[in-house]
Amino acid sequence: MKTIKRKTIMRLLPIVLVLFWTGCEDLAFPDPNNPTDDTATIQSLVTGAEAEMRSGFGVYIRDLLVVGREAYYLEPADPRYTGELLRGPIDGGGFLCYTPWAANYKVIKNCQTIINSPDADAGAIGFAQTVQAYCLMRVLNLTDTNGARTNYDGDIATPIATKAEVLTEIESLLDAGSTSLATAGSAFSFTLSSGFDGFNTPSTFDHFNRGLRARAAVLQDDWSAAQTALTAIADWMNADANVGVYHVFSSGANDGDNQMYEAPDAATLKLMVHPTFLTDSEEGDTRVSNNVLVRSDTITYDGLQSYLAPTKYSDSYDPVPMMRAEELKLLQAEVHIGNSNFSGAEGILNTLRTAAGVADYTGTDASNAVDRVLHEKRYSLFLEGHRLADMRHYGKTASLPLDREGDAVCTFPIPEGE
Amino acid sequence: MTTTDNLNSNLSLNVIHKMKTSGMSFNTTAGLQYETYDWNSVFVHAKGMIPTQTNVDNASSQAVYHDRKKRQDRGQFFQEEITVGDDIYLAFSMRGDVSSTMGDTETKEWYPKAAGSYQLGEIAGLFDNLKFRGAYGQTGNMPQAKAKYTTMASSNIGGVNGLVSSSTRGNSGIKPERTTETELGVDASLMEGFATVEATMYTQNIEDLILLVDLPSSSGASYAWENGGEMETKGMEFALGLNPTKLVSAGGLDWNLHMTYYTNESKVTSLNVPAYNFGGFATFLGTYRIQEGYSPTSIIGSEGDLASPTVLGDENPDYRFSLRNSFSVGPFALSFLIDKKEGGHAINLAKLIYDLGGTTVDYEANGGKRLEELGAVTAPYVESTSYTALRDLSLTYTLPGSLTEGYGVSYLQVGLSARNWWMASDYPGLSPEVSQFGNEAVGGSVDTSPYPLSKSLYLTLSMGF
Repeated sequence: MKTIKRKTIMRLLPIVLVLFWTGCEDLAFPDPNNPTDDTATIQSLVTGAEAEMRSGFGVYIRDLLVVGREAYYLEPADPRYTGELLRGPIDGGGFLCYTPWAANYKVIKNCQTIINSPDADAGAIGFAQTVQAYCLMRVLNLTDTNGARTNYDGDIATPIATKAEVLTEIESLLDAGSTSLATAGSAFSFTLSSGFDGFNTPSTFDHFNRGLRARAAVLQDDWSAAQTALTAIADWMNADANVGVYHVFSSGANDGDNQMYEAPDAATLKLMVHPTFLTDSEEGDTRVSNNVLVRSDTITYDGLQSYLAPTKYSDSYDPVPMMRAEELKLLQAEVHIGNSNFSGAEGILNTLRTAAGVADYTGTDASNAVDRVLHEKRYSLFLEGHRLADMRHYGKTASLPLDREGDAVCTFPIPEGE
Repeated sequence: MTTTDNLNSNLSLNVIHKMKTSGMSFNTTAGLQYETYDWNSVFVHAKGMIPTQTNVDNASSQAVYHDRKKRQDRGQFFQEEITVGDDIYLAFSMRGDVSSTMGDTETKEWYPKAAGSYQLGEIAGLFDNLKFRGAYGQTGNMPQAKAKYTTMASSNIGGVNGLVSSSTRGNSGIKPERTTETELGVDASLMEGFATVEATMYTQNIEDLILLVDLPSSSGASYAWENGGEMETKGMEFALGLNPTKLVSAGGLDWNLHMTYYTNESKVTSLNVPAYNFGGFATFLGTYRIQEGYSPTSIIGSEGDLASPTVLGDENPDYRFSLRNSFSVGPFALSFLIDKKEGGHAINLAKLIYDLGGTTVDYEANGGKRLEELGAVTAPYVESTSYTALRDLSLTYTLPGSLTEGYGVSYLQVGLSARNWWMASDYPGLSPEVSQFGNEAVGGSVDTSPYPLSKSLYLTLSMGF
């Protein structure tokens, strides 16, 4: 009797051991490679948002420069930069449309997470609302009258917001952000990159917020709101032209680079300046000579030709401006024109022209003021991606140069799947 | 430089019981399985090394990549096999699996299986052997280990670590795909080894298809893992082997011929996420589409209206056929394989690249028109990849033993073999065997001028001592 029992036990022992061992380890372990939502802090979300603003920026700026006829992107491996962008229709399923859209909404997702976080203080919320508005402005620069999404939950049953609704959302985000920043004390609870040097406290970051507010108001011909915003940041507007907020880059891990830099004398170049940038310019304009190299050879691709290489950036890690004082001066000039203060506008334009080494304007009036401010914006804010939105704003896209038969100035559609 | 630690463990415990009665035997198996997979790999990429040095510290720039894969599976099964006489074989089994890759790691997924065959043996001098077989079974295909996690990714600026949500949203409830397959077949051997025939018909239904679906990117993520639908595949395989010289003697000639033919057709039968495109570069350049009622390898493109693209082709061929012939006479042996693919399409963007360069063969006649319509009309770039190829050819000669034995070599054979030397195809690209994105189940047939399969010629010498 006893021996049988022992035999049975010995037989069952391995089974028991296996059951015991396999029962021990938990199959529900966390991802061994990546952090999850609950790992994120306000600092990491803020930094993530700031860093991600540069993701997809290369495609975004090329989209604006090519459609706005500031530059060509001659990419032999991808004919869409010279086909689709210059001729249309722009494919809602292609990366030219999709990449900047997705990148902007990824930043917005971070901003939304901050805004809804119980850990966020007024400074963090003000930062998030401002950055979110900035990203929506970038989306609208591409989609324009096609609108954008202002519901961020992925529900495609909600209708796409119209351009006017998106602008309203942008304004209310900026105003709410400004209000939050006003109660945020003297310092942020997080740090920003060197791109925000001079704008990295709640009160100075609010200058960036007001600058964006002025830009949004000008695009809607809301001259009084624009003037109010500009008056609040008069010190910045009157500072050196390059004082402002920048995207910064580095070679560090998971960091980005300036996608517009190429050695200007290289045998082949992708980003080439539109020939009209030189032919439309005035003799001696340093904004041309400082930003463009006239090459001895002409690069041809897909029926397009250019001999102008951009030299605005001299390194793969040169910072790219989001907003700088020179733009504020030009916005002020636009507000003056909007208010029929042509001499005020002329005064501002002439300070910029003097700095660029070209002769003063005289006799600015209703018939030439808009063309003049557009000309100065084109040369002062070269490669910063404003021209397309400006030409649309004043209904002048028809005067953008078309290089080939069948070319057109296109608007980006809402991406497929939205 | 890569350092990898990989620890796999596999523990199984089986209990087997055999029982025999007159004319019947029973074989019962039950078991437990436990498997773990733990992979930890660190890859250091160093550039600008000091010459002769192998320590990565001596590099001017370094990049480090770290990858961990961890997985644990537990399974249990029960199987019963019954043999009746020599003719009937039956088997049933049931298997339960749970894996760390599943969303719910508490509940096992159960998969039943059954198979049977009936052997008729010799019939009427015609069949040497004739066997009917049938099988039904379910299997599971586990999700990828990362599919259940919604994660964040590093995005840094100014040396500060930032986080953004990753482009792919995980699914904490992800389940394995469940494949149900029913198969009927017949195997026969005829006329004293003259012919062998194998024929199989099957249907396969996959439920809870694991899909990486598109999300509206305004949600902050662009893709999500979903158990999104069902797919049905119907197929047929047929193999025929002939040995004509068994029937008619032709001197010393031995001739063997082996043919295979197979065809299958798949269809997405239900989809509980919105239909979506994937693969390729853009809709107007041709892309794949997952939509209810469509083949999962459908290629779509624009026919004038970019907003409502149409099906222009299918990566999956109508059928494939191969034929191997082997001849041997005395010391000579010749063998070759002909491979034929009928139907199946690829997105030929190489043609577009040549069009843009103005170097397409038919550029004068049609290239201009294609470019003019580019963006609106995709069809000219979706082309059939049918081909017939001589996959290999080999000829060998074995030297008479009497000649070589004196040197201590009992066997000496010289041979010449050629691979991929001939192909007939209407496909205008470099090769109809297109796979731009590697060997992908779906989405590989996009041609941007990858290298075709290389031709090779071997001289072989084999010796036996």
